[in-house]
Amino acid sequence: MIPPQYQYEIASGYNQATLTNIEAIKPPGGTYFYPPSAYSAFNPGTVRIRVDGQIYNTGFPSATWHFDTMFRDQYQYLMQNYSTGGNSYSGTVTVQTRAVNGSYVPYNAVMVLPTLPEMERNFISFRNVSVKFTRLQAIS
Amino acid sequence: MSFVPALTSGQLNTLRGTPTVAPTYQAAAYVSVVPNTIVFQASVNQSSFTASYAFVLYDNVTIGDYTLILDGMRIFITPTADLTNALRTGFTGRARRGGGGNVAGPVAINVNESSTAIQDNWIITVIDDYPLLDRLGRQVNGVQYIDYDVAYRKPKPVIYNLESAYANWVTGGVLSIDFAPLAFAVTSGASISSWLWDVIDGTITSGSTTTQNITATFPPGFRWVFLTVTDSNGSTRTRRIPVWAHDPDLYPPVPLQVGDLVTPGNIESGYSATCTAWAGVENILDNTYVVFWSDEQYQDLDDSLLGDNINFVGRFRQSSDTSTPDLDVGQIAETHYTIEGVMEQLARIELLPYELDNVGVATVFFQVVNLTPWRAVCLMLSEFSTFLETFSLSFDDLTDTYLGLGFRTQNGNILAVINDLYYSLNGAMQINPAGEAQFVRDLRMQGTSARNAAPTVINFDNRDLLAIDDYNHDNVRTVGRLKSTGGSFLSAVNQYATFESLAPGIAQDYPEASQSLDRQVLAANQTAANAQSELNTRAGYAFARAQDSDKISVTHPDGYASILIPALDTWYTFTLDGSETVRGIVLTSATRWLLISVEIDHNAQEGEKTCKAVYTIETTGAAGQSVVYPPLQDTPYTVPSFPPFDPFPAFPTDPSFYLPPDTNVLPYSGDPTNQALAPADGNTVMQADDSDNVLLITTNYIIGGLYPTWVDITPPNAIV
Repeated sequence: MIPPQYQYEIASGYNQATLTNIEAIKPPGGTYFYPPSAYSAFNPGTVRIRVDGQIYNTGFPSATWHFDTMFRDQYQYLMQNYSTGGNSYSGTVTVQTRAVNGSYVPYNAVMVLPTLPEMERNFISFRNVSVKFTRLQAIS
Repeated sequence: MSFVPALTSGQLNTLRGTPTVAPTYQAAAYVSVVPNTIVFQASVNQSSFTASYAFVLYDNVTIGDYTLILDGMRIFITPTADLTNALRTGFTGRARRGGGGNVAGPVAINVNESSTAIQDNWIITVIDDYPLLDRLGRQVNGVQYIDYDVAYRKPKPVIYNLESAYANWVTGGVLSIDFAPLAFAVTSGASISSWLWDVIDGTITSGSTTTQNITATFPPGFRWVFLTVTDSNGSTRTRRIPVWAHDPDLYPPVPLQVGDLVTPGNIESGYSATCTAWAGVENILDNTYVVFWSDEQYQDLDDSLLGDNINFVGRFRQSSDTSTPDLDVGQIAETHYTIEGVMEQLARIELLPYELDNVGVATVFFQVVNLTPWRAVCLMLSEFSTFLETFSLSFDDLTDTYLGLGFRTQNGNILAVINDLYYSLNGAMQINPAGEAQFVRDLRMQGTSARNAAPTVINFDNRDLLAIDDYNHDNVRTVGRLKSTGGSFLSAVNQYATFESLAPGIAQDYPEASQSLDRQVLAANQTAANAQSELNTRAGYAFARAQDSDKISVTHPDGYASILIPALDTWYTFTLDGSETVRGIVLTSATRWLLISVEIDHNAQEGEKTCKAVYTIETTGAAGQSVVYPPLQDTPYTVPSFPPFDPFPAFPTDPSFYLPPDTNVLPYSGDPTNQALAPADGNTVMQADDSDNVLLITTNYIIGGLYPTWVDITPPNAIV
């Protein structure tokens, strides 16, 4: 295993204690996850404009982990281990991802997996897979 | 104490951000629901009922034991054990502590008096909830009872500074809550003497069961916590406080993830709420106690700005279903629930009019030693409702300054009754989202020192607004005169000295409309001049308040919801230059405003809130003037009057007067007293008596009677 290059971590449920680096996860019989790209996909929430012209961000931020390649067993692993009931497209998780200032921040969130038609199939893998994390709530 | 204090600089930074920290806000919204645990279930064992009943015999207990039934618990008596639509099919009320001190026994349960039809073998279900319901009064042989058979008792103390619900996440496995209650004795001369806590499954980590303030921790779950306060007369009051300690895994709340929760609020009617349905809502009983709360984060930090995360407390009231056509899915169905706020619940309790008397020694209900409006309010709420067992109540003044000889309560709902009592002091009941109530006097009706002593929550500037939605200004006055009456109670002679006042004085202003400010209770035992001056001041302030004053409607950033609570005792100010307002209106902090209404839309899906608020400008006016009417003459005017009797002769009453029928027959000229010969056809008959020179007429209907009434039509002699 190549030592993880980034600190993108995930845990099932709201459980900061069990955060695991995504690059350190290897589905049984499969391969380790490639590191996702996430920094440019952090949405700080709804933008409101105050009377003084300054921007005020409100509402839940969201983040997206973009994988250039994800194997089928990796996709199944995410679904089985992090979605509600192990067979759905979303579930509550704790993730550590990069906030707008580039730092890694742990959040409670809802993971939303793409459906099969939303991914670009390439033999036994998918290309350009976006795993979304909505309702980000920072864990203080 | 005000609902919202003047914000500190740290709190302002939290709201606005700083030059180095951009302001952000998010709030997850949740619903916590009283689980309505059944503590007792049995069958009615009673074949007949009187017109009204206040206890029910039972047998065949299937759940629990009668000792588990506590005073105030909700009771259903329904045809079956199914409580769906229970509020429409049978009795719903509460367990009643009878005059003997018992709530239930081995064969009977005391309930609030009711005439709702129930039958033998119906199911009695008692659940672990404490609804806001009425206590009926009744008289038996001239003796007044409350709640069926409770004889006179001294007023109970009142507890406040406790929320009506506590709900939050556990931290480290427990939810820790600091309780700092306050209380006051209602009986004149009494004081609070003891405190007693029952935290059920909680653990007191600071203080003890008998200290006023405690810190308690609770494991995940729901429970009612009890606090009993006793005054120096031995009168007790028990508050029931619902506590939800939520754990994400063990006891999660219901996340409001779909649709909106809207909580409008205003000074007159408090808060109400509407929300869209959530999973499992169909299983919740009508009228169930629910709490909406938020988990707020400012600048990505868990931070409840004022330490209060409760957005609304209330009870399910009704649902409405809507369906919208959609090309993709056919129909989009939504169910909206209306949830009744505290004031709305109070307004459904109807009262008869009562008369409260100020006495030296109280021996019956409605007699109060040192009667003041605040004692009258406490008495009405305490004896005629269960309000004070579930909600906090405080007053801005607990002195005996405004004594009264007596107060007559209005006929109507109890909210209107108690507000009418405080109308005499220019105040009203107001309530915050957490269900804490207080009676305060309107700052616009008070003097300079009181106005300046009130907190200014925040001086809004252009950082605190998203939009100015409306600025309403009327260029003319709309009320031309205000008439006021009031009285100062003189305890030495046990009567009121009464006064009248006009504002703006004898010369009426040009608008046609007039208003009144009646039944003002002035400070007791003061000189006539001072009392008149006090009333004049009130009349002047009321005249200014009655005009159509400036109002400003704005939208604030999301995180401001917790500081926006409509109240009569708290100021807000604005500093905006002409470029930031419509029409270039300049606002400065020298002008104060009262927040009169808000509408908070909690978008749970996105973690946002929309905060709209309406403010009204501070008003003040010159004192009114004493009313001096022109003196009356010593000798009253003689007014012409009608004669005491009708000057015009009356016709004989029917049937003495009768028009002849069209088929006339000739008059009968024989013996008018001969009944057999006299045709009774209604003709007029005449009789001349030569001996007396009189001429008489009557109708022959009358002749048929024994004593015909003859009318003398003898012409005057001159004519004859």
